[in-house]
Amino acid sequence: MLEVKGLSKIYPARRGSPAVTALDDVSFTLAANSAFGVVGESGSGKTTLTRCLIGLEKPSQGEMLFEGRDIARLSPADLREIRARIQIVFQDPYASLNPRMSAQDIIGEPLLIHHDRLQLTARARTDRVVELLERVGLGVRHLHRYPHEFSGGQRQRIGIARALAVKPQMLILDEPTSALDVSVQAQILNLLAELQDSLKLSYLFISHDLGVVRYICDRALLLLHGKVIEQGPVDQVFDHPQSDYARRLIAAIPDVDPSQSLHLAC
Amino acid sequence: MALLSIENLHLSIPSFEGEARILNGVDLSVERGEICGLVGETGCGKSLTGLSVSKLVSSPPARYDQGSIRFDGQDILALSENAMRALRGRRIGMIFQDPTTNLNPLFRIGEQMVDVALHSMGANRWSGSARREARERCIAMLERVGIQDAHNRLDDYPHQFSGGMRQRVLIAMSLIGRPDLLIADEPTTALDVSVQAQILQLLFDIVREDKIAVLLITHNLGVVARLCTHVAVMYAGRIIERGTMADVFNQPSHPYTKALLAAVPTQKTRKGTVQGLGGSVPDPYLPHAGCRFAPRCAWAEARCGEAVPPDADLGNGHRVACIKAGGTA
Repeated sequence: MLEVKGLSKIYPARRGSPAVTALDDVSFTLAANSAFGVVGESGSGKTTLTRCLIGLEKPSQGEMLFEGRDIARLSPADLREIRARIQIVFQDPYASLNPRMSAQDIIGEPLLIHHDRLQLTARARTDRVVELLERVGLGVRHLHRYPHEFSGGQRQRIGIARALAVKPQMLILDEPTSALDVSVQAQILNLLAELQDSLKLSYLFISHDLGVVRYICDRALLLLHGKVIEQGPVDQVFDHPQSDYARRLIAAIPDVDPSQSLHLAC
Repeated sequence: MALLSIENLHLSIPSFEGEARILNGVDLSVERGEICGLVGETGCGKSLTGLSVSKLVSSPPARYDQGSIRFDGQDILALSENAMRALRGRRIGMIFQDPTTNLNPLFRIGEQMVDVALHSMGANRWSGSARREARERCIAMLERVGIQDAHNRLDDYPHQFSGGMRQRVLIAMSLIGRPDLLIADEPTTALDVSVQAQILQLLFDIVREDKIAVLLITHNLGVVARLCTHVAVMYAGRIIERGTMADVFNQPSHPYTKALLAAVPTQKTRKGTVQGLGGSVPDPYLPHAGCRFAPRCAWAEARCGEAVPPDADLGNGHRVACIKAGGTA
C-alpha cells in the first residue's frame, strides 16, 4: 500500500547552525491491512517522517509511493485526494481538538473539506457523524458536546472518529495513547485493533512505547538519528535485535514485572 | 516510627460547583531507605497527596478535615509557614514532572542552584565565602548526578541542556540540602526510555547510598516494578492496596489493582488481550457511601455499596481495602 524508498530529509545549514539530517535513506513497505510501528527516541526523525508522508514537508531525496504514486510529486489537487485516504490521529487529545467546536463540527469538518468528492447533504453528514460516534464507542448524546466535556480517552475517540470520517485506507497514529492513563490506553488500543479488523485499515504507528508497538503492530522499524537501525517483524525486532542500540533500548523499557527490580540486582 | 506517616488524611477543596472531596482517608507510611510508589489514574489525588506532605496546598481554600501527616515526629499540618520553609529543600526535597518548566530560562543554572544551596545551608546570601562554598557543593552534586564538566556547565542556561540533563539538574537541586525525604512527582514521564532508565538507576543509587526515603508518584507501573520497594495504589482519594512491590505485583488483591495490571501490554501480551477498565473515575463532588470502586468492579455485590471497606491485612504489611479481599477472582 505504501512504499517508502530511500527517503532523506536534510534541513539546510542556517546562520550559525550546521545542516541537520533528519531522515537518512529510510525505506520500508506498509502492506495493506497491516500495522507498521515506527519507534525512536526524541529527535530520531519520527515526526519528520509523518510530516513528509502527509505532504507537509518535501523530502530531499527518495520516493514515497502510495498505491504507486509518489506523494512528494503530486499536484495540490491530487495531494488533497490522497490526504482523504491517509488520515492522522494526533498525540495530545487536549491540544488537537478545537475547544470552540462541538463534537459534531469536529468530526464533520473533514466531510466539509472533502465535500467536492463526497457530495454529502447536511442531513447525510449528520448521519455519518452519528455513525462514527457509535463506531468509536460514543453515541448520539455526545453530538452537541464540546471538548471540555469529555475525558482524555473520549477526546482521543473523537480524534479517531474524525480521522475515520472520510473513509481512509490508512491511518497515521502519532503516539495516540501516550497522553492517556493505562486503563484508558488499553481501551483505545483495543478499539484500534478492532477498527483495523473491521474496516481493513493500515496503520503507521509512531511511538516510543515499545510495549504498545509490540501489541498493535506486525512489523516495526527502529530509528536513530534519522537512520533505520532495525527493521522486521515485531517478534524478531524485540526478541532478537541485531544492533547494540536496539538491545540497550529494549532493556531500558520498564516492564511490569517484579523480577526486573533493581533491588534484586544487588 | 516511620519517617513519613500519613494517617486518615481527608482533604476537600470548595469550588463554585460545590465541595470537591479530593482525599478520603489516605493512610501511608514511608521508612528511610524505602522507595514507595504511589500509583493511580489521573485525578485520584496522587499529586495532592505529594503536595500535602510539603504543605504546598494552600489552605484556605483547601481544608484538611481529618487526619494527620507526621514527618519525623512533627505534625506537618500544624507547622507554621516559617517552620515549613525550614523543612522544604533541607529535609524534604521535591522533583516535579516537567524539567523544562521548573527551571527559570533567564538564569544560569548555577545561580538557581546556589540559591537553593544557600537556603539549605542557612547561610547569609551576601557572604562571599558562603557563596563559594555553595558553588562547590553544587559542582559536587552535579558530578554526582552524572553531569560531566560540572564546573563549566554551572554557567550554562537551562536551554543548553537536554531534557534528561535538565531533570538531572533538578534532581541535583532537590538533593543539595541532603533531604531525608524526596517527593518525586512523575520524574521521568517527559523523558525517553533510555534516559528514563538512567534517571531510575540514579535515584536507586542515591537511595542506597544515603538511605533517604522516596515517595515516587507515577502512573507508569513499569517504573514502579523497576525502582520501588513498596507500592501504594490510590483510587478516588484512598489507598486501596499497599504492600511491598513484589507482594502487590505478584498477588494483586484489590480488583482495581488487578485491572490496572491487566491493562498494560507487556512484552508477552498478544493482540486483543489487554483489558481496559470500563467506566470512569468517580466525581469528587458527589457524596458517596461504600466502596468507590464498586460501580466499575466486576465482582461488586450489594454489600459493597453499604460501607467503606476497612483495610484487610494479608500479612507482611500487605493491606487491601476490599471486603472480598483474598476471596475474589
